[in-house]
Amino acid sequence: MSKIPLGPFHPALEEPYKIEVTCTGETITDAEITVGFNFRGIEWLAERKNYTQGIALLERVCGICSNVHTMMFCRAVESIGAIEVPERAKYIRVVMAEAERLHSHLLWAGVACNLIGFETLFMTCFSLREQVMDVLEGISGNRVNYAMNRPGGVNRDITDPASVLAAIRTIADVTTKQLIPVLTTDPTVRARCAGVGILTREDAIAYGAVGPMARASGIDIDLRKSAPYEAYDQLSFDVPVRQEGDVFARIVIRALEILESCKLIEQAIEMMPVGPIAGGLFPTVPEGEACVRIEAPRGEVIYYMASNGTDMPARVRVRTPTFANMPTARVMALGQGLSDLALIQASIDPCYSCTDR
Amino acid sequence: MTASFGAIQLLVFPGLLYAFVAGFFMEWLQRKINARLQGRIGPPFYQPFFDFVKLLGKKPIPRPPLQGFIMTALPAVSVVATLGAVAILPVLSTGIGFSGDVILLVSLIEVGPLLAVLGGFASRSLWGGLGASREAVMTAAYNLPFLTALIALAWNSDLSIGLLATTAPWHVRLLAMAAILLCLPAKLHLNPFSISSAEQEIYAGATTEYDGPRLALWELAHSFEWVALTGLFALLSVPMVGVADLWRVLIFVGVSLAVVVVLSVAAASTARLKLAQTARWFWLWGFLLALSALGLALAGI
Amino acid sequence: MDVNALLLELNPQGAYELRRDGYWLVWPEVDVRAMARLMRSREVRLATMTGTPAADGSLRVIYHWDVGAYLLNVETTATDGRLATIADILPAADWIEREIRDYYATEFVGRETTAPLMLRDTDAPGLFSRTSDVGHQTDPAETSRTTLATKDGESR
Repeated sequence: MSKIPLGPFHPALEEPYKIEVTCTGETITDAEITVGFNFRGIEWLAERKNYTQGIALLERVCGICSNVHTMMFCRAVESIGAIEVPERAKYIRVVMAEAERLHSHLLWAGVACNLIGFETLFMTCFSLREQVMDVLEGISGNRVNYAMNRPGGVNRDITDPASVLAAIRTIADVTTKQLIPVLTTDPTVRARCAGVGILTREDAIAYGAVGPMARASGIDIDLRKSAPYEAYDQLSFDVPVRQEGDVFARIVIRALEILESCKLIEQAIEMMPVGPIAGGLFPTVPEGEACVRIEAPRGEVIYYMASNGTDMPARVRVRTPTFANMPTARVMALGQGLSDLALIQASIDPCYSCTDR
Repeated sequence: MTASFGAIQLLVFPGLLYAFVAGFFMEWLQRKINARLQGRIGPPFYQPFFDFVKLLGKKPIPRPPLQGFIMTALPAVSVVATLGAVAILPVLSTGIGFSGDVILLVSLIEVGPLLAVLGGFASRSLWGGLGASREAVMTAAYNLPFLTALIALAWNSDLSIGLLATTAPWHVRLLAMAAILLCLPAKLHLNPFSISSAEQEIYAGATTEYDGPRLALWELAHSFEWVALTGLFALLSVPMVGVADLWRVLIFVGVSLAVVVVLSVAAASTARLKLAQTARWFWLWGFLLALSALGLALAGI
Repeated sequence: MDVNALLLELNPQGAYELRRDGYWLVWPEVDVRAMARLMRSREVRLATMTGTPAADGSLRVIYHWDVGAYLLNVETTATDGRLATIADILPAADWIEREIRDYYATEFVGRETTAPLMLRDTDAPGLFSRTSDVGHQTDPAETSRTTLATKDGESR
């Protein structure tokens, strides 16, 4: 029996957090997760900033899904103030959200490949991710914090749809021809991932797992379908669901979602109506409260916002997907080998900046 | 073999000088191929040598005297033993070897992994220990087919490396060489068998706690291992009877580098397996291959 | 999932309000453990719980349940800063309860231990409620560093 810590700083982790496992030989018999190393008190700060500052603040919750958080903040304000968003802005938000999903999934696929020691595939994923970042930069002018959303619309228009389409088609092409075949058929990938870190459907519901984690465990939840927001009800796409609940299923789900996102971006760009991209001046936010949620790359994000009629929100609560998914790491790790631990925790696509806020 | 030829063999070819140059070159070749396959530019050819020099120049972390001594002595002995293995490779016709040099060679090659296991435990770190125990299991896994394949080759010869390639029938040699080739990635810590140095799981494994010159010695021993193992493969696979020395050297170097290329490509296109999977792989498929070679050799077919 | 049947079963007399963002129910006397058991048996996911201070200084706790297209938001109040735990029924609530305790020092009755989630082991719970009147200065320079100190005077 030995206690082996993974983290807070470890080559397998992108961000500080700690999972301490008790092992008998190389078999994990218990696991304890510690978070909070990235705690910045963003919820606390948000109550002390006005709405304009709040957008910039919430953008910094996460370095990968930053667009999601400004979108959520703006949607919460829109929900409280019953503000309508112009049609074109809805499509632009879809393009941004899906490009960000591409970014997130490709980054995750790269990290997963790195963890199973498959460096060549890691490089393929990251070169694709680089192209997605170029797309995002082309649209928003920024590579990480895009500053695209504002209550009642978006800040920038998509001026060069042709280049976005070209890049997205390349990504879809390489994903179909290289990434998915290697990920799904390579015997070494399969040997490392199939049957590893199983999360049963029952556990997934009890622990409240969301996003690709839940969909890999046979739960068909995707807010883009079940509670469509922005322009998703106008677009056609599939939600991949697998029953196995293992790491391999999560890889397949995310790989297929990359293709679905490419499809969505193409449709959104082609169907985008002409018109304004935002309303007028920054609206006044009346008294009220709202609870909004959307499907971020890693799963459902929930924002609760309460307003007391001043220029600052009375309470902003942020529930990120990793916060819901991370506790499942314990059930998934029990009985598994130590060499699988890094992969199992990574299969959640954890984001600790999000979790800790 | 006269003393002067012996000195040349130890110090110049295929010993120290060649091993030093070829070892770093092979390491570079592996890194370069890996990089090109991954769409990167890769390091310049002198990079492994510069890495080595830089490590040598670093001041090691102070350690208790005995531990410091052990942690220096283990990699140093590993360097010497692996160099010995390179030096007794009978490449030149003047140093054709002696009866039983296979056994000496194998034991010298095995000193490296053994010392790495000891070194991992001696560093008294959790990760060093984990790496060492993985290395130990790996040694047990790949040596079964590796040694069986060597025995199959040596069955009809007088246990001399120079004769192994010529005396064993071609089908025995084919099977045995395939088994040996399977074992090489594991011996060289390459994918898909890079388990004992899986940095995402256990940092650098056995050498985690080693720094500066001590780590440089491990690196040097590792590059000598490249030369010894690919060289052994070259000598066993190409029968060189009545070939002029120049050709012998060229074939030896050429085949060695070809093996590096094959191993590098295989490593770049695979993920890392798990320890249990590797052990099963070697004990089942590797051993089956080697055993059939031995069976054929025994039956004299 | 038949949402209306679930709502009726949860609280037959409940005055549910359907807003843009889901069903809302203010139900101060809710038995959260019975609610959690019902939801678990119906395979309803606990999306999250939100703690938010009410005007009178008590803590409103909203349970957000995922009932398909809408959220079901059930609001209760932590009287005297205490509320029954549901973490033993729904493991999803474990981290959430720990986090609410971190921020508002709410005690979840029935838990064996409530370790801090975001704070360190030595920190006192209730970071947000303790510092509720801090940091509202309009000058950002003042907001950033001054008076934010824990009880033992250690600056944060």
